[in-house]
Amino acid sequence: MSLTISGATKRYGDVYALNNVSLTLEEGQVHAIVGPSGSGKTSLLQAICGLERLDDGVIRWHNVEFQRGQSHYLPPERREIGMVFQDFALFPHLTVGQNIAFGLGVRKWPASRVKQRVEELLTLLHLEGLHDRFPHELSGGQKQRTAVARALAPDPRLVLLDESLSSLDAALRRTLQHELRDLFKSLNLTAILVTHDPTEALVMADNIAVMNQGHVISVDSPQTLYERPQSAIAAELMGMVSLWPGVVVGTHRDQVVVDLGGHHMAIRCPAMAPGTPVTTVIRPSSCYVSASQEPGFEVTVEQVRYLGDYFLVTGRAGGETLYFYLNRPPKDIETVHFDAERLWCYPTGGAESQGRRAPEGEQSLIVAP
Amino acid sequence: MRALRNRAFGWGTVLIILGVLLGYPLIMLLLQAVFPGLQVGGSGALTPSFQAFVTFIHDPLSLSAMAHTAVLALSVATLATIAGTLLMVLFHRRPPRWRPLWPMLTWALFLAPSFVIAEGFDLMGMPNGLFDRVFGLHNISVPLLFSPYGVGFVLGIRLLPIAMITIDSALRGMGDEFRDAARTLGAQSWLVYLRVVLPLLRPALMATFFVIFAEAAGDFGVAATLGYDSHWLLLSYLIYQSLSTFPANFGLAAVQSMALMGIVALAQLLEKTTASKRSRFSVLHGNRHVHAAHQQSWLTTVLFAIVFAMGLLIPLLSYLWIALTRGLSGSGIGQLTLHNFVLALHTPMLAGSLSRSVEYSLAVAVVALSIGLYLSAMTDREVSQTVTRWLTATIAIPGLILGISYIFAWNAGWLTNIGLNIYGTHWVLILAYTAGVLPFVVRMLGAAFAQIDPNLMSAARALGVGRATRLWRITVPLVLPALGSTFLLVVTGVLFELPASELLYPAGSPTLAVEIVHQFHNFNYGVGAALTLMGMIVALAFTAAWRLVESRWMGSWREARSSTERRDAV
Repeated sequence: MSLTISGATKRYGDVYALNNVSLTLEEGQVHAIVGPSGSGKTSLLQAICGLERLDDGVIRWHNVEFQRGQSHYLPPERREIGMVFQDFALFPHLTVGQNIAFGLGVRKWPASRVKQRVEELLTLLHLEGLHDRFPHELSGGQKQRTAVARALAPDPRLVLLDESLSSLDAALRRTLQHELRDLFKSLNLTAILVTHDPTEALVMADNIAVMNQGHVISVDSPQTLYERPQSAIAAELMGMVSLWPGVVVGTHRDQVVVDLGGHHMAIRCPAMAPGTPVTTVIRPSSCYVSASQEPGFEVTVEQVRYLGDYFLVTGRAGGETLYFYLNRPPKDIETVHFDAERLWCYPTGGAESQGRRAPEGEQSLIVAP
Repeated sequence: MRALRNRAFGWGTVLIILGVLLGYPLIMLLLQAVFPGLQVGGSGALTPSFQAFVTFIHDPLSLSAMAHTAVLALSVATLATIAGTLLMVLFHRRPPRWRPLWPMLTWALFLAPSFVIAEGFDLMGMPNGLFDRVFGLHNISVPLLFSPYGVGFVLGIRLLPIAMITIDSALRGMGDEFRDAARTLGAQSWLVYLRVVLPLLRPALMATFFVIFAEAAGDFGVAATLGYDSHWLLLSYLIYQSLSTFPANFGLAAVQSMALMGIVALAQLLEKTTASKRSRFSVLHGNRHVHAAHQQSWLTTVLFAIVFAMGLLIPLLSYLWIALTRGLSGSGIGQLTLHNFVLALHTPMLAGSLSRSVEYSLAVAVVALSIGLYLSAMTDREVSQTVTRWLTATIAIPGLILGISYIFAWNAGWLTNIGLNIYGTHWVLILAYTAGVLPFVVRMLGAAFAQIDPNLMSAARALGVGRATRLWRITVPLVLPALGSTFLLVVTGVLFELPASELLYPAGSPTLAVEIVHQFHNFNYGVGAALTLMGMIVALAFTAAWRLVESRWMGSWREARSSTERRDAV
């Protein structure tokens, strides 16, 4: 039971919004699609809900075929999908209650059942007392909750969210990220959210697909994607990172020994032949500064940003840029160590590291162990 | 203290301008109904009498004309609003081919004077007209065209662009997101329109209905041509008759004018009361999502082609047919002649009417745009907004009523006593034209000024830019497109203005519209048609000149501005 996308292709003139995208999204999970602007993530979401027709490809949800090339296309009103829009798209001429009941009315639910369902959703989304308010009388969070309630009202099994939290302020966004994830999990819904906010994807999703230039370039669990990305695009999209070039010099048990600026680091990653050039992924949280005398990287501090709980330091070491955290103001030169267990590397120069496309074939959004 | 003085000065100038142009004439119109001796002056000037009201109530002609006007306005407003909405929904969902062509034609029809279109149909349907000579349809076309249905049809076609422009703007502002939301909630296409699009369009639909109703009720061009020829009297033409018969019945004309204003006001009241609280919402989202262009449709193309063929092509062909033939006897290419044009150009009275109207239109454009700019750019926003509201309310006043008010106001005995005699001169026409176009000018320029982000001025001030430089380098470039459109609206409007001109033109110096109608009424169809075509050429020349200026000075900026509209998110 899953949403399957095979060979999805969509062009606008000469530009490929989607270029032969294949994905399998498992039921009952929250999936995030992230990518830079113009990567094709919104097009993919629009194709799933039917607001855009693919030029080619197949989309299937359980046993229902949404689209097959140009020969079969199920319009959005018959797909039974819940959709939460970026600007909510609440009908301004209807009250909160009427907005929530809209999808039930068109399905000709009996009035008593509609009333009961609306009350249920008002309670579920903490909108009690707002039944008769018009959208312009709501706060940002209330609008968002109403939009979710409206999408959930007809009891869809698949819910799509198109950057639905992007217009909210940071504090409210953080609160709703947790609330919505808990809600989707408690209702055992399959949710797909499009976002450009890596934190949102990490917090809300069970699985994340990274898109770039119309291709899905990476599909993994949040932790794997954050800690063991397969490309520079994926690494950079998921948060601040230093990408250092290195060369494999050998192996040690199940680890690869990488020459990193003259230091040999044993990194746990798939085996690679000695001499293979690699890109090493160093998150700021993988770096530490200690008072011990163990050898580390001499980093010349160039920039300091105070972030409240700690300082984010930008420095240079052997011609490479390094980001790391400190719990005190830095000195001009700091000796930085890496937690080798939290480093990751992948072969440099492949298509993946250029962020162009993942290997051919279907990718599956299934939680990695 | 200085702020108070500035505000007092602002209010003072506004009240003087509006008082002279609109307030005083309209008050005189109302007074005339109760004080019939006001025009004559002397001792009986202020003796009240309700005789005009009694005459009106017992005049079957007035009552039937009032009923005709109300029925016509109601039918035309209803049908044009429905047709305009359907056309624009099709335009957005199944766009016609050659898409940039249709908005241009819509504006051309919007700017075309109603009497020009009505005369075009008149010429087409008359014996030996286009229908008769080319299609042999005289027996079918004449009974249909010269009837209340024909009058309603021509007026409806003429006013259709109002509905198209308003609904187009409302649909664009709505974007596709609400429709998408409704569809994902399971609503079929027809239900989306019924439950979402139409309710959201309701304010625009009501506004459209009201504007068309007011325009149809107050229209003089169709009433004086096709309406008159159909022997179907409308109130606006009856008012003109009350004044143009000898002796003129000023009191009855005043009461008939009040009745006409009453019909318009009733529609306005209806609009206000039906616009319930539930429709008082704002479209909430600022980030409009618009789908990529839909597949073009031949059906929509054909529908649009039919509308504009009837609204523009048929009148134009009629004028060409009549103007290029001699004595309505020719039917082939060999019979073509430029005789009518030569006559129009070489007869001083005819050529003079065209040049006079061009002079009037340019003079009024300068005066009205200056006043409009002053009112729109006033630093005191409260005064500026109040003035815009007042003037918007006067948009509904028909041109004919304005003309009559000007007779009562500037031909009043007390003015003669103090030696102020502008009635019967060019000045009274310039004042009347200015009063007629000012509400539109202020509305259009006000909208352009309102769109200038105040932060732009703050940014310029922070960069050390002075007031004069801000005006020249920021305000003027930003309002220049609106200024150009307003200029064209004023020039073309005044060039062919008929109702006020008929009542106020100085003796022996008719304007273009007056002369055209005069020629038609005297059965000089060829000359009338040639004059009309010459007027159209002048209007097109103004439009072309402005487009040239626009493309030279502002081409790249306008293109950049229009391309900022968000298309599909990829």
